[in-house]
Amino acid sequence: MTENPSQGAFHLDIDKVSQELRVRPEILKRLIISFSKSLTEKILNLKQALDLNDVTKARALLHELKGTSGNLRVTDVYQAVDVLHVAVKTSESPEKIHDYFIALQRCCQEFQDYIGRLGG
Amino acid sequence: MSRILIVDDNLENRELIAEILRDIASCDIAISGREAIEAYNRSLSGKMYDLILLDIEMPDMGGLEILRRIRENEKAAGIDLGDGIPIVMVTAHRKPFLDAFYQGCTDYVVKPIDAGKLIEKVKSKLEKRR
Repeated sequence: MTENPSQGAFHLDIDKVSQELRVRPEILKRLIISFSKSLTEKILNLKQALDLNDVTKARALLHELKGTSGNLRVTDVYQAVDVLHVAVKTSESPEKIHDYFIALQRCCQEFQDYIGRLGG
Repeated sequence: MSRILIVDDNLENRELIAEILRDIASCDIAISGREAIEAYNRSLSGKMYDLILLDIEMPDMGGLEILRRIRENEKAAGIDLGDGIPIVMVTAHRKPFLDAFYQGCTDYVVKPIDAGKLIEKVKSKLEKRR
């Protein structure tokens, strides 16, 4: 099952990742679709936390996003979360945090579009 | 087949771990600290779990608190630390491990999960338990 829908830069090789994780491809695909569907609300909650400067909540949300994207090997999202997580932890300027959030939001949208084309 | 309790508030993480371990154990799921304690207490009067995989960061009750309560319960029952149920902590944080070991965790697994290492660690703990 090599998933390679055309359009967009995002790519996820479900067969390769399922071998790495030693899970069945259909289960991995279901979990990735579930993660993709949960992202809209999580990103919204993250935006609200950042807007309110609620660092504790933002860090908790980023921690969860990082754990799940990392476990499922959604590498682009994982890396974008990591950059923002470090920025929040080290109290970077609001402008930088905003830029990193926008980059994460865009990355998540590309991932969700990709999963949508997979039929998720 | 061995019985494992997976404690994680995140759906994808807990289902992924259960799928990775599907050939070596039958996995029950607890989605919160409260559910974890309830499942553990229920197991005391039936078939005990052979191992618990415990996420450290959860909203209602953190993994360290669950660990502390289980170890206290074992101590009260006269069970030595080395004979207690193996508890493997799962987290993306590296820092809390010293606290976890101090409170009696058996081992830890770092996120992102390495399936090979997870299987190896769980198998080794289950073999020691037999």
